Amino acid sequence: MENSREFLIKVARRNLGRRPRRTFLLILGIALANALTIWILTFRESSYKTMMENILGMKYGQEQITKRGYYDFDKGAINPYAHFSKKDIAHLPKTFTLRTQGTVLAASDANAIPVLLNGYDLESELQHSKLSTILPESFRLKEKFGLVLGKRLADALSVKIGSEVAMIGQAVDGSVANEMFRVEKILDLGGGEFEKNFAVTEIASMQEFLSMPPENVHLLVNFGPLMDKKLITGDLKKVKWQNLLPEIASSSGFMERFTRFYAIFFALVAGLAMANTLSLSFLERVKEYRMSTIIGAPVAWLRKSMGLEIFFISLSSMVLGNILILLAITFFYFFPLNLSLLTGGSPLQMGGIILTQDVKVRPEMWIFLVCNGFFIIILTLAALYPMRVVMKKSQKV
Amino acid sequence: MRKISIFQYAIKSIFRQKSRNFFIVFIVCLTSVFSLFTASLFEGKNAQIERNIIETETGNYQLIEKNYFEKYDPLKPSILDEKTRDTISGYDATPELLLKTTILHPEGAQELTLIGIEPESHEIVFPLKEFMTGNWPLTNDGSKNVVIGKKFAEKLKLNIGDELVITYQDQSKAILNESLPITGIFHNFGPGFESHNAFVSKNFIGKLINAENPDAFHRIVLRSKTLPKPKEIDRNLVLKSWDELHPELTVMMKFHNGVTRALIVFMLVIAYVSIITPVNVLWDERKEEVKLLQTIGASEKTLYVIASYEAFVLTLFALGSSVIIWGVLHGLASIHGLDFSMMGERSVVRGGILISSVVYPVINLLHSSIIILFHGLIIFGSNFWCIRSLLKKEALGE
Repeated sequence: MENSREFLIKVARRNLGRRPRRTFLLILGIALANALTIWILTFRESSYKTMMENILGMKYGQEQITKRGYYDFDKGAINPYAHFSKKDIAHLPKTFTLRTQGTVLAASDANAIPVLLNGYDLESELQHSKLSTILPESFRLKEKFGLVLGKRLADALSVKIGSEVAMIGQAVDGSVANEMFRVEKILDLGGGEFEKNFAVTEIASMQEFLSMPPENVHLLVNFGPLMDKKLITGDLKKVKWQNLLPEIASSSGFMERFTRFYAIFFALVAGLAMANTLSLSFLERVKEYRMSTIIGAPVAWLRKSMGLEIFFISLSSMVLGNILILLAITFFYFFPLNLSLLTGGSPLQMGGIILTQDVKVRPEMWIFLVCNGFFIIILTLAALYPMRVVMKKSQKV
Repeated sequence: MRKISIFQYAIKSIFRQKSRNFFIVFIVCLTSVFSLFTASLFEGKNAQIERNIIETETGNYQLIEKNYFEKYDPLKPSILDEKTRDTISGYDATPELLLKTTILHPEGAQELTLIGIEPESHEIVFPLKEFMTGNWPLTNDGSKNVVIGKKFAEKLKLNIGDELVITYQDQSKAILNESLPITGIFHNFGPGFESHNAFVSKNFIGKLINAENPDAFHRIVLRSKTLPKPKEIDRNLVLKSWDELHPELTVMMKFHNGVTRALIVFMLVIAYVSIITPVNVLWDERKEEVKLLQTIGASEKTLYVIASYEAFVLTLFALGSSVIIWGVLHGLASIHGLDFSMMGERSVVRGGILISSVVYPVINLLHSSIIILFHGLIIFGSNFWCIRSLLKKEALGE
């Protein structure tokens, strides 16, 4: 039995070595198809993660918790009266930051522009969000109604550090809120709409401005892992980032499905190529197989011999494909790919934020497993047809 | 003995190995149809986004007063003088005055941009009347009447006949309130646009910002495919195309195009490696024939010519059939459209504007020709590579 297995392996190896060039081309072809399939999915995943880290880390968080009815996505509106007490979220893991916000008319000596004024808990914001990439962690506003503005907004209002800006908005007690804020910091966020709308004050100032109880807030922005839904109790609601940024979610979902569709197509074409090449190789050996049958070789033996060949081809192409793609991923991890290659040099921006252009390509285990598994299935199916044809032909003595 | 041309010889050679050549033709046809159809779908999707944006208050180009463009400062509008008139003559154009206001409402404060229009000329860029209920705009009479978006009306629970109170800053820097009667509600343009824009008469904004010259404007929206020459533009104005006005959207479209192109290149690589083995086998099997041809005097050049003819015929079959299949698919998709909701595009909103998820493909001749050319090249390339290695082997006496 042992000898028979060794013999079979020897025969399969010899058969593959008979036309080394053809075998090599076939293995290389499948390996390349496998590597490209893994690559497009890995690159999409890495670029998507880089983009989302930028957008979510800076502003939106992985998810938000609000009082039910705070966001009305259908009308593109927020309900400032829907605020909740900090006590309701005291039990949640501390990976979040709290915010209070409201639309106001920001009026300077030169201009008046409506903006969304945000009340940030700067200490936790700098600890959890990517705001720490543009502000030192020790940064705090000196005055009660101090203000941090984006450079584009400051330019639009023609204000400098030290200038006063009148904010007029709607307080949550139904009265008109108005207060003078002093600009303490102007941030260069690289341009984009985010910079044109960036107006931040301390959460306590915002609560006072909006006549809100100091223990109440509008938003919990979670920058850590997603929270268990069971922990969100009472009148509170979890809001996914996909609801906050539907255009990005829809566009990214579309590209995800599109690349998967392409990946499946790549595997199918590679499968067809393998089926064809195996047909050529096996059909060349029909006479040989027929002879073996005549001298008493069992059908199972022929099947096993062909199966072993297919196994060797699949194994070598999978190994080669994975080595190639791992090398590419390692290279592009240390020398990140610039996304502007795909946009003709224009900087990518999403949700008003100019994104980091360099994508560090990182391997994803699930992509390797799914792609290799899918390729093995496709290649096995592709090999069945030539095997069946050759088996039939070799039986005809 | 009957003489045959190289072309006939090529066809005979191809039909000698029908099934193998069919496979080559099939693979190239499959990948090229896939690439062509993908490219035309994306072209159609981009064209659809472009058309929707242009037709929704953006136009192809905008001439914008510099101060307003940079700072949203409404207090220094430009005047439509002879020079600017000359610049825009020949284009469909509508001048507008704009004012960013805040609505302080019990339902919550809200940002609202008032777009002051001359209804007659405005019809060209945005057929407002077709998408509104109510009875304004008809004339640029300077009345306070306002047409608000449906989403805005729903949010603030406003109806035709109600009053909308806006808060704004006037020329003396005073913060003022003004009450405007709502005479119309426009709809079907996406939540972003409907929530943050409202239409009033241009003369009314002129009164609010003390710019009562009827020729005052902050921007002129142009419907034209031709860009006016920069030297004709006044220094106080900036000329922006629709894509510059929506940079986020444009760059995303470019990104999607870039990804599609990269995938098409990958597709070419896959097609090449898929056909190289059968092509190689085909030439290997003709080793004796090649030797014979050389014996009777065929030079290497002649063999390459034979290979080119065979590659040409295969290309003709592969790309001819792919163009026919693509044409049929394109024709069907052009009539019925392709619903991208199956690819996860449920509610398609781009730049705040609602866009249908049904895409009608558009052929870009240049891109399609490049795709076809490269698919042809892989057939030629594989044939040349295989005959070259065969001749090399023979020279080495293998």
